[in-house]
Amino acid sequence: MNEVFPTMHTAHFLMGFGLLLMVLIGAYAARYYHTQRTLFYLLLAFFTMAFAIVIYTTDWIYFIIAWEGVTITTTAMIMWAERRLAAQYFLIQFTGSNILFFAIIMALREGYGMVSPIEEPWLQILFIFGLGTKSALLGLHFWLPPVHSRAHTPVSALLSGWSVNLGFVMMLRLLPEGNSVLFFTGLAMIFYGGARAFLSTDYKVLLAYSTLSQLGYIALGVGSGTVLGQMGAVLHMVVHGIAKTTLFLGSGLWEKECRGRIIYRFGQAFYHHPVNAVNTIVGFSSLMGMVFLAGFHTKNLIKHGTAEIYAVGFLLYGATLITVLYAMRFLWWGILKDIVTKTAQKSREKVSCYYRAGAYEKAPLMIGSLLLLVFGIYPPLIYMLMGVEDPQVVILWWPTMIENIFFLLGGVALLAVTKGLFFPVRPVPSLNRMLELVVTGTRKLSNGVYHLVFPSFQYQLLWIPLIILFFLIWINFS
Amino acid sequence: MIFSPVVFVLLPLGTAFIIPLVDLLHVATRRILVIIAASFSLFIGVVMLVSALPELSAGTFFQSYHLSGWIPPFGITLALDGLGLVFSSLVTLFSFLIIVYSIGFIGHHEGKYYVLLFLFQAGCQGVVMTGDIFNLYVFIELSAITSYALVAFERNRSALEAAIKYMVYGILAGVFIFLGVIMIYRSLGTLNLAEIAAHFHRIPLPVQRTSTVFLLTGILIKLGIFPFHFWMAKVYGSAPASVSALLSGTLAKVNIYIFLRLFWFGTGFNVLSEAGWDRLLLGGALLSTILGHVFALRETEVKRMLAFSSMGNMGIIVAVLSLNTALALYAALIHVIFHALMKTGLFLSAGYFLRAREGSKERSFVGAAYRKLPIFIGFIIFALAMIGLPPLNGFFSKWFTLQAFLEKDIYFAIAFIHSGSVLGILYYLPFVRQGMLGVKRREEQKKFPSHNASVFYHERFVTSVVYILILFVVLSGLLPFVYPDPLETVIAELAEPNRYIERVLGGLIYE
Repeated sequence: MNEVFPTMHTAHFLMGFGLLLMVLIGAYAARYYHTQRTLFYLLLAFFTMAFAIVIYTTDWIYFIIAWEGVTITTTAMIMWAERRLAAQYFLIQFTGSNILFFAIIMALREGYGMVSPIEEPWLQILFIFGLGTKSALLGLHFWLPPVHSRAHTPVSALLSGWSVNLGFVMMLRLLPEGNSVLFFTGLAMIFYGGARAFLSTDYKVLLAYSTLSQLGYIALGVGSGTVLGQMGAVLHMVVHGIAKTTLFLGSGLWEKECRGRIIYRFGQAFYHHPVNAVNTIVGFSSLMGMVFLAGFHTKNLIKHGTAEIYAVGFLLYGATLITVLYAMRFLWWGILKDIVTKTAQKSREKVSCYYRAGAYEKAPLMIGSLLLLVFGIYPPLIYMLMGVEDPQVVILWWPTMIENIFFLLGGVALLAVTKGLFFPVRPVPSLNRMLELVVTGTRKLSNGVYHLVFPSFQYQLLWIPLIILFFLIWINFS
Repeated sequence: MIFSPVVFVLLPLGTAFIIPLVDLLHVATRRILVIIAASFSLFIGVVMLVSALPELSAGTFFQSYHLSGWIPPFGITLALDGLGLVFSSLVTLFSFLIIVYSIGFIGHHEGKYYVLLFLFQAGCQGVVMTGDIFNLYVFIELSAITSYALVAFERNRSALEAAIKYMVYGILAGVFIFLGVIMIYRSLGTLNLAEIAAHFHRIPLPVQRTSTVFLLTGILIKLGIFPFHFWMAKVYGSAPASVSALLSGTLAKVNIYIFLRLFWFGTGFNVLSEAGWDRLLLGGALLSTILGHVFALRETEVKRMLAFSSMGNMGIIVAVLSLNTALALYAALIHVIFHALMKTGLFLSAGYFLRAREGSKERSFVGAAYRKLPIFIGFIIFALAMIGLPPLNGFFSKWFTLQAFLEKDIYFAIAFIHSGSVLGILYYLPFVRQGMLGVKRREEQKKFPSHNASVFYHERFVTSVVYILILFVVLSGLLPFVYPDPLETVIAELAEPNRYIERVLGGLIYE
């Protein structure tokens, strides 16, 4: 291994948790897929192999092959849900890979024989662009909400929980000194993703935008270039991965129970599924950074790593606020309010939908919540697994708890005043229109060029004497 | 066991003349004869390649044959060096695959078809083997004339139109090559390529350059580089799929061989580079690349689309060749081999579906996935290889090509290649999508499962060829890493044409 990661241990740490998440997703998929289950497991195995190579390899060729391996396997998985979406996803990812490919070729030219820290700023930017397509950096993120919200549940979990991290893992290896472009993009991402999540009415779209927002924290940590920031980023990859994977897996259960993903309809279902409900609350609380949960420590690390340099601590308070707002809004509609039952009672219709979750579906959620709790209550454990010294960041428990309670109460108060901020239901975002524009645009261009260049046969032949004449005149003058 | 080069020309030539005789006696025997002849020439090719590998790796492989025992400067010589062996193996392999495919595919006037096909193979082998510039012209014409007839084989209006246009272009190209040959012969009094190479610098400069202009124009027309690309789509689109595969996979590569042989061994590349034409060639080829990819976007007919994609890829090969560095030549050679595999596979798998849904041209790909899934997956794999997705072989040729351009700091070429592969997705996707659409059948059609009935004489022949090509495309990506020596020594041969001269003339260089 090279000296890019703080230690080889970091790679093992990421790999171990990646494997754990794959096992959780695999267990969940056992009941989710009734047909072609073997194919799914095969793809999952290939995906695991590919990301292992991405994490460990020092060879550029193996890296790009594995990177495309990730693209192919995820495309094949998305194809189950929607072929068109898979094609669009593939087109976008392949374009990003081409940028990355170009960056790698340039790196080779600059003398980087293997995967190692990049010095040149322009090359760093090129790599950030290339890797950013898979990791949905702001500006290149447009594919993420449609894909993550339209794919099947296990696939969404896999994409949102783990696949998006790979780009940041690579950035960590390539940019150990950090990069200010990445840093400020990350900062903007937190707010943009949070705001869009806050406005969402569809649960999976909300989760997808929340992923975008949380990736902002990781980008912030990686971009800061400080030890604490990068350590926080690595931990946040894992902690956010666990939380988001289990939340997405849970979303599949909600979808089956509530016959839809509109958050206003969740109310009744919440009490039928204690496991899923607890996991949802724990997951969102971890994303919010509540004390006694793992998310608190990682965000604290990132905050400490970044606040000193750019004095963005204040902005991060705002970021916490926006996270609290979108999480609380969902929990408000999910737990407290219940439009469906009310309207059903009015029209005297009997609402009967009940989905009995199996052990394979519950176990991953339980394991996820348990891990978040254990890491939150006893943080030395996660530092030990990561193989680093406890950074001894000053955590004042009581003030933080008061702060948390203040945030929570503020959120609840705001929601109570605005009656939960009911937005009209919007359709799930889609890439169709954009891609249609690209396709029709290129076809139009092609037609134009064709009619410009292709004359009829007798004029085509005129090119031959023209070219010969050109060559002969060239000889005369050279 | 190493065979004499003449065997590779005589075997298909002889078969072509025997086929009509066998036809007179017993028609059904013809297919057996064709298979035996094709397998035999493949067998000889494989044995030759395997036994020559150690010499090929060491860079010492050379075989020559003097017709009627006349020694080189006087008689006709057949000379086979490493470069020739690589291209000869390509011709042998693809001829075999396409003959086997045709047995299931063609289904009418087969006697004429196989005569033409074997003559074509003999022409291509002759081009590769010959060490004599006039014979080169003769063999070029042999392969060209047979290919005109093969293009017109379907005998419908568009095929005839395409064949006539192709013939006009082909004859013009032939005339220019012939003019170049005549000028060289008048100046040097010899037709032996090695002799020409040894003495080309003695010709007065204007004559050197004028003859080079004629040769270059002829070759560029054959290669279909901008602005001579107009025949390509028409021809590839109207010919039977097996013939299109042959033209794009084999004939185009043989033309690349002619290009290499004439300008690296015959005249020497410095004739081009001193006049500044290598830059011109680079520009034209790159323009050809981007135009090919852009034209392909508008096509709704699969074979025309593939033709334009071929145009793009030939542009890349010529552009890389015009850089004339060791890495560039290596990249070009790799791309020649890999593109031949991919494009042949694409044409053959597309041909399968077109034949299976004959008559409907516009939406001919609809329902392909339900017709035969493995072949359709094969089509997707070939398309993915074309756009350069690792670990398929197209990625590796892209890798080497990009490095070759980067070595010379030609960044816009890199941009062209990347945009070519992104545009590639855009023009392959509509066909993949069409293939996945279901076919709506009326009630009375459902009773008769004509949809699943085979339209081929032996469907197994057709499908097995495509499977073999899939295997090649998936595995051949490893070739540059597992066994790079032969290709590298071939490149070394290109760098020093003097060795070729010495070997052919046997040290007899007359000053």
